[in-house]
Amino acid sequence: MLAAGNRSTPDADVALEELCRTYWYPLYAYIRRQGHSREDAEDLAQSFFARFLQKNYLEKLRSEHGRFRAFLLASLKHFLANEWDRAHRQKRGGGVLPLSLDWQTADTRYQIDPPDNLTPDKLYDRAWAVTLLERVITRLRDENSASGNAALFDQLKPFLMVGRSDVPYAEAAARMATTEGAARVAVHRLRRRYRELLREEICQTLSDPAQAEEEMRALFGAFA
Amino acid sequence: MPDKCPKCSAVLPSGALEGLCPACLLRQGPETGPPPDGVPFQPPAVEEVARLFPQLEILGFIGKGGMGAVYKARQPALDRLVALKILPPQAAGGPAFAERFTREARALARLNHPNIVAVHEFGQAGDSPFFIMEYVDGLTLRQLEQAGRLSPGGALQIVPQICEALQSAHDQGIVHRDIKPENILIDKKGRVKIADFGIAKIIGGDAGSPAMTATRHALGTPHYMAPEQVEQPQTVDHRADIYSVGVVFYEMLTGQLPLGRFAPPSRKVEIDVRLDEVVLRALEREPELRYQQAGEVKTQIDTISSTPGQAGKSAKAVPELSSDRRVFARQALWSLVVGVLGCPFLNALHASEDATMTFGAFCLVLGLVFGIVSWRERLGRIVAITVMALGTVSLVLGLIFSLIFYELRFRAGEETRNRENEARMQILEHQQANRMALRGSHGTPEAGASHPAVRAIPPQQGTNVANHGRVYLVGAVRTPGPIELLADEKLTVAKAIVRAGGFTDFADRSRVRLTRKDADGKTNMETFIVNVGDVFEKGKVELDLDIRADDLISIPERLIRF
Repeated sequence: MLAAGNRSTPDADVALEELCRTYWYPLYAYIRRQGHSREDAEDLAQSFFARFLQKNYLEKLRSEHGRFRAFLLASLKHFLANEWDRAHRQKRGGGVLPLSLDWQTADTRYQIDPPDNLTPDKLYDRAWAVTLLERVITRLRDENSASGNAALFDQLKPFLMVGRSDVPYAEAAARMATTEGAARVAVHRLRRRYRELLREEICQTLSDPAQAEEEMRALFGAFA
Repeated sequence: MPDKCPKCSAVLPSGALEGLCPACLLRQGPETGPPPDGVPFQPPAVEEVARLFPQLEILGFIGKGGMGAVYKARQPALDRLVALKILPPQAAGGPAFAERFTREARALARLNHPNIVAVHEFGQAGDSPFFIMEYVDGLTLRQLEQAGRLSPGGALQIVPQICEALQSAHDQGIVHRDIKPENILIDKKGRVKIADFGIAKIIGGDAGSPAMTATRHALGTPHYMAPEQVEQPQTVDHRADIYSVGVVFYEMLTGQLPLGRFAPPSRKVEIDVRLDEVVLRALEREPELRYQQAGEVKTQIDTISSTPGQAGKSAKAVPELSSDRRVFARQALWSLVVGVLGCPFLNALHASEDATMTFGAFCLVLGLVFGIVSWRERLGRIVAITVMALGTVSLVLGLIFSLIFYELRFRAGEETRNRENEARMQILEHQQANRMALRGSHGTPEAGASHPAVRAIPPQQGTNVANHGRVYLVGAVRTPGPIELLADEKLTVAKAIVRAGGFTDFADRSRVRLTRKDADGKTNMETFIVNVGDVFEKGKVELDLDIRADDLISIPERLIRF
């Protein structure tokens, strides 16, 4: 949970850094889409994070109604607009350790992301959603692997994308080579766990868990 | 070419998410709600139905509900349209299903009423039970509601027809058990047709069976169910249907469900107030309090529709609010009564005047407040008016009297002043004499104790003076506290004429309170009234108290002023 918002504890710092580490790619994509070169984008993202982690930006989180996604983007815009010059001057000084982020992968990912005419904001939201889902799916896969169900997960994961009543259980049963009843149970469990994890991850970026549904809709809206 | 999601054709992120579509994933995210304990019913496809029912020409899928799926079909032999209802296969589970199904279906088939969807045939195809029923070309009440094509007036047309149909079914011992807008069809001519009679019983015959649970879940909305239907399904009788009709009626009138503490319909929409009573009685929690027959509801509604009524304002059939008001009105009356009776009572107990006044005022204000709150009750109104009238009368009287007294006092002023001067002279003389006496006979308080008859409190100007076994409170005034008297002492109290600004004060009574211990050691209190009119005279005993040792005497300061 965005208890990270409270800067007073070391735990909060760690949590915040963890959040930044998770969601930096959407920011990078946003900066690139703004028209900055790869090197500039790296510099910008890096110095933004440095400043972001250094300053207690999170105190202002409330103004974005506790949504970390919106808040991070607002902070970045603010940074790009006003603080770039200053940040540039001291970007490699300041005694701030850069976050170690995988720029190479980022650039590759940015390059191979499908070209379209998205606005930077929308691209940011999409990249955010994908990052978030990536985490959820990875966790889901890891959990299944841990219990020796990796293969099952691969078979059933497409059913995460269809409505409960539209799951072709017969097909699922055929894939699993089991009875329809067993397939129902397995699919149902997987879907339930997926929703739990999704909610959990989303709540990480919110100060109020009650906003989870709204955030989910907002992210879904980015794909509309 | 970027990959696209085959379902929603959103562009898939390359190399991420294992080929899953983020949009589709997110869409499934908010799907909350309890997981299904049973298996959701999948209506068979039209082709499959056609294969199962070779004798029918399946024309299309009409809809699906918790109780199965309905298809439009034609019986070529009879050349008529029918509705084919296929129940979920799980419904056929449980012991004795076949027997129960046959029994119930036969009973349904006997139902013959223009407002009930007729059952032509029933049976089991594959593992799914089915009914072939009269085809109704129209819309469900739900669809009409959603289309906004219902008015309160429409409800008055529809509900009596529902009641008539229910009455007819109830007469044959058949309870619908699932009356809701989805099951009420209105055909093109505006006729009501109730569908799915008794199906709930067929499906859920054995309460507690797995099929029952699943179906219950599928039924989804319990809003139309009578309370006893939820709590004790075994005890359900035809009065549960009457409750459901109440819900449907309420919803048709107001567009809302009667949930929690709901307002009577006439509070929400402009309708005849008398309808409130009908709706509310149908919605009684206890079956015994409801209408006992669906026909009664119809009769009531018909009566109301046929006689002109007063729309809008609700007067009587407003249960919860009016009962609150009634309580307030009663409180108002009680406040008034307590105030009126309590003040004299307190006075009789010799409570202080302040306390009595405060108590009285408090009661009256309380009565007024409660009266105004419950203004719409007759009782509340009466109390409020009484309090206001009392207030006005006392205000007017107070004004008149104070004017009169002002005049009197002014005139009395001259006279009294002379008299007072005289009195004061007497007091001074008296004190003088007293002092002499003290010095003479009892030089010290100890000496006083040895002569128990007299103990004096050191004389002060205007305080109290002891004289020959009598204590005179003269001219009198603030006592420094309770006056302690010894055995055989007597107390004489006189009240000086009280003056203020040249007028004689009409605070005409003074109280002397005597506290004494009786033989058992209990403390008793007595209060005596002393009148101002008893003007101080040397040696005159206005009040002769029999005072014993250890008695305490106190004089309320307020009442004796100088």
